[in-house]
Amino acid sequence: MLELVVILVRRCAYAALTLLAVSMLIFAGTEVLPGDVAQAVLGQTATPETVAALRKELGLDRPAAVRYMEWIGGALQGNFGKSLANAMPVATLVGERLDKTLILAAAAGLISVPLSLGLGVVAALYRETFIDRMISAVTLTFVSFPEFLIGYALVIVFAVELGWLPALSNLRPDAGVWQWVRALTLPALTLSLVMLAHTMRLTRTAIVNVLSADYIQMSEIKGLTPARIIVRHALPNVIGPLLNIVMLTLAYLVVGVVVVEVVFNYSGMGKLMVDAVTNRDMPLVQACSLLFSTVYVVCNLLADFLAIVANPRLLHPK
Amino acid sequence: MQHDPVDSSRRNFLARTAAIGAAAMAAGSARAQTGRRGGRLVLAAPGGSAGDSLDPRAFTSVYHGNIAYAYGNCLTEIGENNRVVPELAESWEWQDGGKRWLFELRRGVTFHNGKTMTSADVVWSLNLHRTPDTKSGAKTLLSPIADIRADGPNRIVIELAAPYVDLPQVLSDWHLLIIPANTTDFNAGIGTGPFAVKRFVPGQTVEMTRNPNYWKQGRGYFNEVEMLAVNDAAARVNGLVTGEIHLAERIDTKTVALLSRNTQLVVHRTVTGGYRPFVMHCDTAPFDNPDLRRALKLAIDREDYVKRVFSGFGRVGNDHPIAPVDPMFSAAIPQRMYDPDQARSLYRRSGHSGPIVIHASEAPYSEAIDAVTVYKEHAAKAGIDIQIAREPAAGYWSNVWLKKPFCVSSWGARPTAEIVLATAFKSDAPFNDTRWKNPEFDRLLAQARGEFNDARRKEIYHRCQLLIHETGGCLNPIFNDFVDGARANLQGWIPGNHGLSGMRAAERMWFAS
Repeated sequence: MLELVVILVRRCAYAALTLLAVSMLIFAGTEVLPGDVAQAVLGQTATPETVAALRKELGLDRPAAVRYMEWIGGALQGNFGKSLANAMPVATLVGERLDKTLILAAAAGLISVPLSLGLGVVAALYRETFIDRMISAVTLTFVSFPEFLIGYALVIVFAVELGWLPALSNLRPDAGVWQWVRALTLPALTLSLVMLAHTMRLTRTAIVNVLSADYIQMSEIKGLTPARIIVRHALPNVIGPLLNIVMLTLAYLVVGVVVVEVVFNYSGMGKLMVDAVTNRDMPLVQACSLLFSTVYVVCNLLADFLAIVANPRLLHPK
Repeated sequence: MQHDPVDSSRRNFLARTAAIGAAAMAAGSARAQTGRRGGRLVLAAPGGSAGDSLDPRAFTSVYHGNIAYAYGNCLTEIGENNRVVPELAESWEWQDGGKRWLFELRRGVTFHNGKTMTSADVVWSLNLHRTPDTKSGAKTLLSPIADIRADGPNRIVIELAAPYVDLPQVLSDWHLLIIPANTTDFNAGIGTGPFAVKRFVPGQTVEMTRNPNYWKQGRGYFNEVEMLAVNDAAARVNGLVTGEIHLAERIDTKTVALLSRNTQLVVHRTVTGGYRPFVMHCDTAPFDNPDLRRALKLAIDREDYVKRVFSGFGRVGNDHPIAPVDPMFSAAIPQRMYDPDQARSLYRRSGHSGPIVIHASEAPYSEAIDAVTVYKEHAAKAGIDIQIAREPAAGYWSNVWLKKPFCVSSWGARPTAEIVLATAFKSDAPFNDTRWKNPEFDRLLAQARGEFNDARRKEIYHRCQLLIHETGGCLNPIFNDFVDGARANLQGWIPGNHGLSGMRAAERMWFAS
């Protein structure tokens, strides 16, 4: 038990260091973006004097290191500064949209996880047969399409031709559960299909590995029923890798919403970030990037941790 | 007393204004009988962002423009045929050679909160855009104004530093909405317009309900209006096709042919004064050589260019910025045609050899790379080697435009010819992207600002256009059209100077069924 705690603490420390490094990369990245922030904000009204004045007002004439320290210090307290486009606190803007993105990611997860696990199990059980090859071929096809193409294709089929689902995911505050379901189906499906091949094949590999182990063979020789073999001997050993896969899927889903939200006009953090980049709204871009990175790092952390919990052997690396 | 020509033209002007007003009101009441009340309009436009507000000073995009004309009115309106007609100002007259303007306000107009509109509200609303540190997009429009004051509850007086003929046109700008004086909560969207704001989510949607006390006859038919901010062009079209959206602003011209086949949709083309030139710096070699500039302008096949690059959605340009739809357009200047032979000889005479580099990216408009590629083909036949330097889209307006000696540019429409010419062609204009300095042009421009005689004004602007056409650094092959999409059951479209019927589609249209 103690070893588990030690490992958790050590992993958390690494995660924090990773996030720190990522924050520096984000800050440096926004620094080297072409186009002057002050000029972008002022647009057509920009003259050399007004640009200089705005740069001074935004504090852009100070060295980058100083501004970075200020930013990260504020971020740790939850203050991400003010949006350049409208002087509203960034934390407010993000907070309003974050739950919508999480809902979309959860919906995508509800579709993606059972689908990929199920297909992975079927592919593993019928490996090397026609079924296995068909599943691989279809899912790999989806992976090779860009997200927005899959999104538009789904819209054409389900919204334009069949009329079953809406093309745009606009939701009024009085929208009921059914309207949410209708609005989220296509975006969630798009996200799932992109990830499907990856997670399905990981599942398949994990199960194949387990099923070819000696103890499984032993169980078969002993005369156990296939159901008992799978439930009592195979599944417990597969849970670790599967949890790993699920967490990575969820991590990708939260980050992958960016393109999908634009295609379906869904007002979550992805669309917010795209708008912020277009407007050169640096504080907002930095905050969104940091948030997405945090989600990714935390999901990876959880994946590692759950894998260890499920497989105590990992506590004692040889 | 000697008959004063100024006085008589002023009387004529007053008479004309009254006549326009009467005609507009009559036409309005005629329309009131043809429109059908009811329905919920959903409109989608690009340009919304999470930082939006309903403060008129913050408006920048067509999305904001549509919202503006739905919840508010201005003193004047651009009506049919791009003529200025009364809106909240019933009539106007100028005095003192055009340096003082009097505007009579319409009586009995109420804001959505029940308050009556008076001159105090008008003065306050206009002065919002005149404070020294304002970032309002209308600041330069109002810069000729020296003072605005109320003269009684129903009249305002505007004093200018110099005579300014176009003041009524300028006051129709969508930033210059009249809102209650001392408004602090701009996002409540209180105005005098056909629809009252019910719910505003910045960057997402504005929901409005019909104003039952709207003063304008023949306008404002929908019971509810929802304006969605949809930045992705494909998403707008998808929504239009499925019927979730009834009006979509800015359709990609390449998709028009496909959309026109859909019988449930109507594609509206808006002709504006916007233009898309190639600009060269007249003070930088090799473009400082007038022969070279003329050679480059002769080396493009304009008809072919409009057809191939813009699918025919535009009018051929004549190397100056005044569009055929502008009343000041000079038809007397012969249209420059494609002449590879003359281009070749002028190019040789200029003594230049080697490639000519033009800088382009998708930032000004999405067809820009296609545009320079087609130009390169045309110029090659004249023996001129155009080399295309592709620039990144991000930072184009900071690093390429105004900086590189030959690049692609894009200009949106402006309310008047005077503003178009002053913004980019006056010697000392900050946005003079051709660095063309012509003292005679500057003198003519200043003269036209105070010239009230239409015929004389047109003649002055003709000479301005001729100067740019002959000696300027502006290669303008096209005045681009915009294309909007609408569901076929909507009626009442009036062509305007901006997309979506001058951004007033919500006010003007109705559901036929």
